[in-house]
Amino acid sequence: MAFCCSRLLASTHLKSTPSILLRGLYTSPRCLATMKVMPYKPPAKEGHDERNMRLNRPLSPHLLIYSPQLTSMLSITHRMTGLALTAYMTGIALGALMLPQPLSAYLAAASLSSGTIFVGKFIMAFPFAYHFTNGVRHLVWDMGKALTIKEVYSTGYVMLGISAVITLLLMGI
Amino acid sequence: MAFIGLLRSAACRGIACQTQSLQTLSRTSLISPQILKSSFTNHTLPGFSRLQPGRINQVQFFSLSPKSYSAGAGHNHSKLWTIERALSAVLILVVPAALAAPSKALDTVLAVTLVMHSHWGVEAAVVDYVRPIIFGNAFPKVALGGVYVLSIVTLAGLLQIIYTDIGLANTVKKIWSL
Repeated sequence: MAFCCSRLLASTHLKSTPSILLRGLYTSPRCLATMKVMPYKPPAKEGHDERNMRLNRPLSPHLLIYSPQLTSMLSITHRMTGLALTAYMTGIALGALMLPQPLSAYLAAASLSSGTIFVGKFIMAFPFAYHFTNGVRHLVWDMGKALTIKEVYSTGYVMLGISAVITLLLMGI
Repeated sequence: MAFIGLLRSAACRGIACQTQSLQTLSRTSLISPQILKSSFTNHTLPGFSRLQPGRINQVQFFSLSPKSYSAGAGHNHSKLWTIERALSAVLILVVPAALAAPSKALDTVLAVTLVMHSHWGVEAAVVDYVRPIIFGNAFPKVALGGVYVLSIVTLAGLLQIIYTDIGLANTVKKIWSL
């Protein structure tokens, strides 16, 4: 009874209703809760994605309007650099398997412009330096350390600095 | 660790209910050991109790601790997680060592650890992005199979470089000296 009436009061429609009408509703027999035994019905099995799609909900967070944060950007960069390094490794392996000559023969005969070499070294050195350094950061987290927001940000900046230094060192070799 | 519940049989169906020893059970509940014995005699799985239809107010133990819960579901990924971390930690040492002192042995260790590490990484990415809700039920399985094929082919290619060519570390050094 109390639950029923409090819900009625909460609705905006009834807030503007004259008090006489409300009094009438308070005493209305319709307001009395009736309870009856129902067989247990298990809820329909529906995954998180299925439910969101059925309700026409947009992807959350909406990637185009969501403000980029250091945390999420470093996280996705870690995955992207890892995938890039995997792509290089698989590419080299496929080359070794499919090319008629051993890979070293092609490397010995290769003559590339300095610009190509610079870009090529950078797109290999940076993902390696980043993934290596941020990987250490992840392992520190996995030990349960440096997990406060403040530490996550500070280690993030330190990691960016160290990976920039390693990239420069590798480029210089 | 374990929760004692006086549960109606229908409400607990589908939950892996873990039984404790009958002694504990009879100590903590008001039901006589004879009744308990009769309700726990025909289990199909040792350690797990089946709720029996028609019985009401059975005493059931079900564990909510992560270990027992995951064991009940048949999936325990905590060990794999630890192995993945250990492998990543090993790579911190193996990568510089293999580059500093190139050898067939270190190259082989490097190839195997790198392929395992990248396989788990790519697998995680495929599971995250190639989801059945977007691609249907068949394609995610094909994609996951593709990850395995690519990982095996990659390992084969790297081993070929190690055993029929100049080796992994030397190939990287040669690329770098271009």
